[in-house]
Amino acid sequence: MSTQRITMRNFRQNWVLFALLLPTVLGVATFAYIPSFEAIRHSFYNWDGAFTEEFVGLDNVRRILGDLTLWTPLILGGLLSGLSALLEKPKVQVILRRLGAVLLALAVLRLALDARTLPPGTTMPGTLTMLALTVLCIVLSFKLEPGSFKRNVAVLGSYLLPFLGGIGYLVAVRRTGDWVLWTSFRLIFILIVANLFKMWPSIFTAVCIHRLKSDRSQYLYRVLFVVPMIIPQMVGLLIWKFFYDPNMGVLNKLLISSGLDRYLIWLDKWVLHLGVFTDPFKPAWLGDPALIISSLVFWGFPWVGVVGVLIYLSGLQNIGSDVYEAAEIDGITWWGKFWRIELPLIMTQVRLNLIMMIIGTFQAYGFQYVLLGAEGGPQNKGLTPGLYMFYQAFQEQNYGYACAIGLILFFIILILTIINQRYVRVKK
Amino acid sequence: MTLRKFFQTYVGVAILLASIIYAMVRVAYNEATYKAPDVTTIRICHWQLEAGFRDALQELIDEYEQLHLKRTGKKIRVMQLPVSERGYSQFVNTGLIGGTAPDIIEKGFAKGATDPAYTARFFSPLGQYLDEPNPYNAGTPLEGVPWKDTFFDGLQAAYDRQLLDHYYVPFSMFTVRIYYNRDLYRQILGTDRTPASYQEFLDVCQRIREHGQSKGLPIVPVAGSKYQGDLFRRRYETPFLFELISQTDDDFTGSVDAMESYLAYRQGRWSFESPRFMAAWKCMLEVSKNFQDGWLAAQRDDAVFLFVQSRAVMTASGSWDAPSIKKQVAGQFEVGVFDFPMPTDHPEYSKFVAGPATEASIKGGIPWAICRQSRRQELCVDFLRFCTTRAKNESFNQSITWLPVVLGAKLTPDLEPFRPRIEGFVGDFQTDISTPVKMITEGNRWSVLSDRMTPEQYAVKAKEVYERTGAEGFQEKLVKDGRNNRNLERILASQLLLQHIGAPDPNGRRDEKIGQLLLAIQEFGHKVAVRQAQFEALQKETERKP
Repeated sequence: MSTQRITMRNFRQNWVLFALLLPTVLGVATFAYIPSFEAIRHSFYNWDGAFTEEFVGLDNVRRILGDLTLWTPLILGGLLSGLSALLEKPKVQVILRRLGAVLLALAVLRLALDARTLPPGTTMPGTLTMLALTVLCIVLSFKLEPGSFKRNVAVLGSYLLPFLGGIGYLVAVRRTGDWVLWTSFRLIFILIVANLFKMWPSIFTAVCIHRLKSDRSQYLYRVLFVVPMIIPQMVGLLIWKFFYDPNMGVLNKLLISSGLDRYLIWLDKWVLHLGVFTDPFKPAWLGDPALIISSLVFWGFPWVGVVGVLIYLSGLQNIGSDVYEAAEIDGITWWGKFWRIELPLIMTQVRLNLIMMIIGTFQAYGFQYVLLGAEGGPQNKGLTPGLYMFYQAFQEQNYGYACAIGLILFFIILILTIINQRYVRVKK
Repeated sequence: MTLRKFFQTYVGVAILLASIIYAMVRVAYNEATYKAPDVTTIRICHWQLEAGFRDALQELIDEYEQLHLKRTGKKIRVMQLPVSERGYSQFVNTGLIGGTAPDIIEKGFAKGATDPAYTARFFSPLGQYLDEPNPYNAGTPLEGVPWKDTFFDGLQAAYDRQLLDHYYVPFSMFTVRIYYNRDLYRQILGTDRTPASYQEFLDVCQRIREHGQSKGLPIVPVAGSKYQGDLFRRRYETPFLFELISQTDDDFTGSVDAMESYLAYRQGRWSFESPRFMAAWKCMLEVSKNFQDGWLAAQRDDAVFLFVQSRAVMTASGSWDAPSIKKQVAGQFEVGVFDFPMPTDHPEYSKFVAGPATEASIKGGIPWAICRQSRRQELCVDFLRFCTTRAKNESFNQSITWLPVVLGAKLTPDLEPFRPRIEGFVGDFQTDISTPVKMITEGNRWSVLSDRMTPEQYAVKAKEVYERTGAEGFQEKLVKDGRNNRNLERILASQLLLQHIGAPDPNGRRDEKIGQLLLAIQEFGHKVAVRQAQFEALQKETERKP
C-alpha cells in the first residue's frame, strides 16, 4: 500500500484528519505556546505582573548579561554555527559556518579593542587566544582535505574551543551583568556533573531487572518501581528534609549508630578543617553552608530513578535474544555483555535521560526552595538560576526580569541539548 | 470472557472511572453549595494556622451569617481559605493578577503590603467607610463615633501616606516576648526573677548550659530556629542603630529607608564595617549561641516542640503563639513571659544602645483588605464592621488569647505581659537597596548568627554586593517612586475633573482630598527630585575620581 502525502493542497480530501488534529493543536497552542511566547514578549518589558508593563527593549537582558556589545558577535556566531550543524543542506551549512566564523572573528576584534576597558578580573589573554584558535580551526576545517586526521582535529577544535572559550568568557563577562544569577550557575554545573554519576545506578538496576530469568520476578520488580511514582514529589522532598534534620533526622542517627560519626569528626579535625563535624555529632546538613552542596548531591540516594529505570528497561527489552546468544557463543563475560551489547543499544534512552536531566537540573527550583528557602539557604549556597528566577518573580514581583532570565536559560538549555544530540552517539 | 478475566482486565479502568466520577460529583456538589442562586458567597483568605484562630473566625462568621439572614432574609456564606505562610504570597499574587483572588484578603507577606502602587491597584480604599460610624456599634458607648476612631490608634498606622487613604482594617495587635518554662527556670536557677539586663540574660543562659552539661541532660537555654533567630535579630539589631537613624534621617520621617541609607552610604556617613554594626552582629551572635545545635535547619514548630518538651528553658515568639504554647504545655509546666533585656548597661554595647525600640507605634495585626475585584464590596465592609465592634473584637481576641484593637475591649489577664511597651525609641534603618543585596545579606546573615562567618566577613560580603548593585537598585526605586507620583497626579486630575464638571460629592470631602493630594504630590515629588539630584551628583563625583 502506497503512502499518501497529506498537505494543505489536498485539504478537501483529508479534512477529517485535520479536524481530528485541531483540538490537540489548539490545546498545545493555548497551554504551551501562547504562555511561552508571552514569556518571551514580557522579557522585553518592565512588568510587575500587575499594572506596570513598560517596554524596555533589551534592558532586562542587559542587566543579566552586562555589556551586550561584548556578547552579540559571540552569540550570533555561536547560533550560526549551531544552525549549520542542524541543517542538512551542505551549501547552506557552509554559508552559515562562514558567517559564524566572521562573527567570531569580530568578537575577537571587539574584545581586542575593548581590552583596556574591560572589568577587572577578565581573563583577556586566555579568552583571546581561545577565540583566535577557534577562528583558525574553522579556517583549517574548510581548507584541509575532508576525512583527514588533521581536518578532524580542526573540526573538533572548532566546536570544543568556542565552548571552552565561551565558559572562560562567561566567567569574565558575568561581572558586568547580574552576578548573583551567574554565580548560581556554579551549583548547576556541580549538580550536572553529580547527576552524570547518579545516572548509573538506574542503568545498573534496569540491567539487573532485565537479566532476571523469571518473567514473574521481572514483572514484580517493575511494579515495585512503579509504586513510588504514586507518592507525590513534595512528600518525597519533605521526607528527605526530615532525613537531614540535625536533631531528629535519620542520617545523623544512622551515622552515630554505625560509628561513622567518629571517623567524620576525626576527618574534619585533622584533614578537612571545616568545623562542621564536632562532638556532639549534630551536623546541620541543610543549615551549614559547608554541607549544603554535598547534601543536595547526596539527595535521592541510592539514586535509582523510577522513570529512568523504566525507560532503560524498555530499551533493554528491544534487544533481541539472538544478540545475546551470538555473544555467548563468542564467550562474552557478564561485564562484556553490559559494556558491549546493552549499554550501546540503550544509548537512545541514555541520551533521552541525559537531555531530561540537563533540562531538569537547569530548571530546578522547587527542590531547593523546599529544602533551603527562597534565598537558597545560608550564604545562598543552594541558589540556582531557577530559584533566582522564582525569587525575582514571586518575591520581588519583577516578572519581566524573571521572564528574561527564563529566556536566557532557554537558550543555554537549547545549546546544551544540541550538543547532546550531536555528540552523544547512538549505535543502531 | 469469564467474570474473573473480565474483572482482571477492566479493574483498572473501573477504578479510574469511579475516581473521576467521584471527583466530578464532589466538584459539582461544592459548586452547587457555594454558588447556589439564593446564597451569596464571600471568600476570606489568611495565613493564620495557629491554634484557635480558624475556630474563632468561624464563630464570627456563623454569627454574621445568621444575623444577615435574620436582618435581610438573604442567605450568605463566608468561606475561610487558610493558606500556609510559605505559599501565601504566591497564592495571593497569582489570584490578584489572574482576577480570581478572594474578596477579603489578609494583607501582608505579599509585596503589596508595602508597595503603594500595588495596594492601589488591587485593594479598595476604605476611607469613606471608616469616616462613618460603625452601625453595629449602635446602642454602645461607641455609637456615632467614626469607625476608624473606634480603634486603639485611630487607624493611624493603617493610613497610607502616599495613597492618602486607609486600605485595611485590623483585628488584633501583637508584641514579641521571651517565653520561659517557669518550673525548669526555678529548678535550675533557684529563683523566679527574670533577667533584668542583657548581661544577666547571658549569665542565665550560661548557668542553664552548665546545668545541662553537669547533669548530662539535653537542656539548652533557648529553643531556636530561623524564625526565632529573626525575632531576636530584629530586637537586638535595631537598638544599635537608633543614633545612626537620627544622623541619616534626612527627610525627618523617623526612619531611614533603603534609598536614604544608600545616599548616606555614598556620602560616607556610615559603613558596614563601622564598630556600631560590628557590635550589633556580635551581640546577635552572643544570643544565638544559646540556641540548640543545628537550630538553623530547624523550623518554627521544631523550636516550639523543644520548648514544650522541656528541653529548652526559653524561646521567643509573638503574642500570637501564646494560646497554642499554653495549650500544649497545659498540665506539664507553667509558662512565664518577659521582655527582651537590652544591653543598655553593657560595657561594650551601651555606648551604642540607649534603649529598646518602642511599641507605641505598633500596627494593628491581621490586616483585612478588600479586594478591588470583589463584586460584593458593601457586603465585605459590612462583615468587617460586624467583626470590629467592641464586643465582637473582645470575644474574638479572648477566645484566641490575642490583644484586641478596638477601644474598650478588655485584655485577658494572661496577656498583661504582652501589653505594648510605650517607652523606647522609634525608627528603622533599611539597607535592602536591591534584590541581590536582599538575597545575599539574608543568605549570609544566617551564617553570622550560626557562627559560620565572622561579623567582619559578613561586612565585607554586604559591602561588596551593596556597592556593586546599589546604584542600579537605587535607580529602579527612583523610577518606581516617579511612577507612584504619577499615580497621585492621575488621582488629582480625576478629582479636579469631577470638581470641574460639578459631579456629586456624597461625603463632601473632595476639596479636602484635593488639598491633601496637592500637598502629597508636592512633598513626594520634592523628595524624588532631591534624591535624584543627590544621586546624580554622587555619580558624577565617582566618575571624576581617577
